[in-house]
Amino acid sequence: MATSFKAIATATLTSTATSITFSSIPQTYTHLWIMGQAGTTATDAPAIYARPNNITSSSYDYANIYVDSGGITQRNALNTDRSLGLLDMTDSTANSSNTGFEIVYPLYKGGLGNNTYLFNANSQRTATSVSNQASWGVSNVNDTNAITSIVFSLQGSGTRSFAAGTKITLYGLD
Amino acid sequence: MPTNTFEHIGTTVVSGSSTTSIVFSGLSSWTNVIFVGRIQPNATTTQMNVNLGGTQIFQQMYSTGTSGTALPVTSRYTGAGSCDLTVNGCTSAGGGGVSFKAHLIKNGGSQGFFLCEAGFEFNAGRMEYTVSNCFSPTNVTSITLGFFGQVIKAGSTISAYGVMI
Repeated sequence: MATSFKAIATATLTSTATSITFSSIPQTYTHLWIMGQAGTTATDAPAIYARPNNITSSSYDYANIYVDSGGITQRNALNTDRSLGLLDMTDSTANSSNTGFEIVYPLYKGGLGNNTYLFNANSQRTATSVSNQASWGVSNVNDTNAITSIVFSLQGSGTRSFAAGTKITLYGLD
Repeated sequence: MPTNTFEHIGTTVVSGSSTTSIVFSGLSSWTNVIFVGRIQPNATTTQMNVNLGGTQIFQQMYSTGTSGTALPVTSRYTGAGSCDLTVNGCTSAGGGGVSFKAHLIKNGGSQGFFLCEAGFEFNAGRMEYTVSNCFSPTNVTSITLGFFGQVIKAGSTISAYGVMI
């Protein structure tokens, strides 16, 4: 395969962690693409946050299409600290891969207003298929700076952890 | 001819203030093509669109709900000379333009399926997310992306990547 889709870094957890950080992201690509699988030790369905430049304030807006056993809905939130819309997960058995996701950051070096990015996710929240959920959407953060870091965390202000085996890869596109 | 590859075909960055569309041609060599970009109209609110050539039809589902509410997902369908990739317009005053990724599936060169996800802030912080399939019954050798009747803002950028299997 040619090299226009390049792995910049991969984070693989060998033990639990409350956050995962990609820092010093090279400013030599045109777009960024993330693919990951994540589990958690929490049992209360915390949402995943993926915060560009570690912006933790309520500076995010999102719209998504969301489906679970209750049907399909659309959601729209403004001025929230949820950086990926609804992307909940839970696993009482500390599964390492109960949520799979991808995030695309077009034009991550800025220059065209706020950073706006797309996400897709599928989460199996318990062992029963009726608890599967999927979400497709867009997030906007009120930040026009180049994205130099992305910090993954879980809803709950650092009190919940990603499970060992969680693996996230950051790619750069020429 | 490339084989088993994911290759950067090219990136178009808009400069100046007179560009009305971005064209990617020479797509015959590829099995499929992936597009990633962010573009913004220069002045007024308008919809993003794509033209694959031929008589096209498209289907969409989208989220433009009011903040804090959960609404049924909406869909629409139409036939046209080009395809809407967004439902509402993208204002140049706010947000960061339309972010999108799309896959052009060429079906051996006999048809074109342009599967696109697009999202943006369109009105005082209100967001839209749209999933579209634009279908052309003819071989797609070039595509044209832009906004209906509007100039594209400088800095708008689209990249194309060819996939050959």
